[in-house]
Amino acid sequence: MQAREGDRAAFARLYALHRDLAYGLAVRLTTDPDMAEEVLLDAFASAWSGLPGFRGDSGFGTWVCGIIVNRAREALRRRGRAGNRLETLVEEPASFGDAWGDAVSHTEDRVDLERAISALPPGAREALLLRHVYGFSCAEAADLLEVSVGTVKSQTSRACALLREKLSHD
Amino acid sequence: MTETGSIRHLTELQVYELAAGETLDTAAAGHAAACPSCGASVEDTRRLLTTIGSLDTHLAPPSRAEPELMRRIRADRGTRRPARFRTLAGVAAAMVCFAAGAVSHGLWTSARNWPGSPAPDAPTGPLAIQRAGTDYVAAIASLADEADGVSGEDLRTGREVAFAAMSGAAYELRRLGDSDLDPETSEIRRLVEDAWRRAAEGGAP
Repeated sequence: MQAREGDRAAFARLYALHRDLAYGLAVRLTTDPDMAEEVLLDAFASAWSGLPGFRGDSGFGTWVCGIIVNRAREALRRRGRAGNRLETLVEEPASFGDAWGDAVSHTEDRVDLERAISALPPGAREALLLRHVYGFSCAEAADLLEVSVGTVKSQTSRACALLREKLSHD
Repeated sequence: MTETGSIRHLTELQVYELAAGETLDTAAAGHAAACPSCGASVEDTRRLLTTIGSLDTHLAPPSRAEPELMRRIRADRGTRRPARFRTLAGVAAAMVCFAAGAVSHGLWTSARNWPGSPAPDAPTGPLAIQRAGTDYVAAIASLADEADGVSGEDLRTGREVAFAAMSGAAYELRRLGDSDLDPETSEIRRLVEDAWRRAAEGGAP
């Protein structure tokens, strides 16, 4: 409420509360920590501008995740990325650990899985991340991705099939 | 299901839905139990989803991000429009116009009943009252413009200033004629608080 009234200190507290989840999502969606940082800043700046109109139908964190998804898509379109930097990062587990920090246990299996997720087609990756990494329901993920529930399910199932195939060959 | 020879196997979607526990398809479940290949696919997918679900979700951004964000927010001062001041200005405009209209109607009705010319100290007429109301509306709208982008404490102060301006408008109009607005009974305060509450809840003005 205070942030909605223009209280920057209150908004800074909201940012502190949600930034790690938002940045983690941005990194996974863009597979580029630098791009993800810009997505994070852009998303929260947009949230600040749009906060007076935020009705609270969803939680603030969910709302910001939706903005992150859109900003990540825009950033990837602008850059026209075909490959991704996370693959480069995970070739050397130490640098992957640098990107994710000390909190991450980067066993080789996890690294393989992270690499495989980052190599998924964007739509499948988005659906899989929102559903099974970030725990959104099918309906919530459909809202965030602006697609149907059926599309979320088919994209997620496709992601799982691709991952199983990729990981069984590695 | 998909077919391989004479055997109909599960589709990707069916495998996923069984693994995720998101289906009531008993036929598919029965097939998975009976078909080693499909059963293995479902079990592999179930393990994969369990592992995926344990991946880290949180990652701390670089420390430079927060000061950069606050810099962008400060630079956004000119574009952010606190909703409640626009609502307040709208309510104030509606109230003053309504009051001016009510007063002018009352005076017009009274004037029609006066025998001959109006008394020397009578109000100058509905047009003058309308003009006074317009001046108050313009002043409150200007106050709303000044209030844009200010922080919480200043915003609260601005709200009280706007309320005082509206009270002054009601007093003036009441002095001029038969106005139903009585600031002493807190009617204006109630209207302002209602508008403020609606704005806080994100409702339309």
